[in-house]
Amino acid sequence: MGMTMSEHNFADIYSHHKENVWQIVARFADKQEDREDIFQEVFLAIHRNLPRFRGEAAIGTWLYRIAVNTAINHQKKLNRQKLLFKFLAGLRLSEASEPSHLAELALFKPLDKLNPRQKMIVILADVEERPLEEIASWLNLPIGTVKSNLSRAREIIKKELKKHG
Amino acid sequence: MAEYENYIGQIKKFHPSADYPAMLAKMFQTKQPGWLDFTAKACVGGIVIALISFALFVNFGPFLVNNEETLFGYVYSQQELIDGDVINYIYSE
Repeated sequence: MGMTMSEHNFADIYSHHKENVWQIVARFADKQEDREDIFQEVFLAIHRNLPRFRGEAAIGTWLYRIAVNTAINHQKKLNRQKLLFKFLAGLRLSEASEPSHLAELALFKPLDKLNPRQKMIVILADVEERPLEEIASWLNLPIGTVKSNLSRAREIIKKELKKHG
Repeated sequence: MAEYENYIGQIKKFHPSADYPAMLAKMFQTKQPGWLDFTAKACVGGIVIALISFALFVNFGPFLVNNEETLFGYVYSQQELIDGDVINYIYSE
């Protein structure tokens, strides 16, 4: 039994892009478990959507669009869980105010002050050094919005770095 | 600015390891396909709605049907009148 066309493409896509996707995801999430969850979610979404990929955009653009948006949505979900934990802790229904692992790495504390979209923009623009036009296309945002989010995110990080010296 | 650049430099140096074959294997073992997840949620949703509707009907059904001031009661009484008229008409013929 040979592989179907989409399975064959998926195997190629996985082997060619796994490291780049992991690099983005690894800097985006601050916990190994979340990184692995996001990584798997990204490639599952790619596998699911591959039969519908018509090649109108470059495969890289299509793939990173899925990757960054999946990561942002996953982080939003986690933030909602964090809020729920805080709420339950307020009602004394839950012992922990939030899962202890969320502040596991001091390195990520300033980045965690950003909203998921700002965080992704900083990682893509300043860490990965991707062009702003590319980021705007992946996030489906006007370039002006990307620029303003980036500048706001930098200010927040600088303020955090000053606060914690 | 130097502080910011230094911070970004630290993030750039951060390279957590990844077990790609294990993640790939786990991906197709543990995750349910989207349609299955959706179907399961739809079934549970349908059952909950059916139970709530049944409970409401048992509680308020007789009141709604017997009270002509409610929409159900009004329609029900009109239907009875129509049925009665039709039966009367058939028998009168």
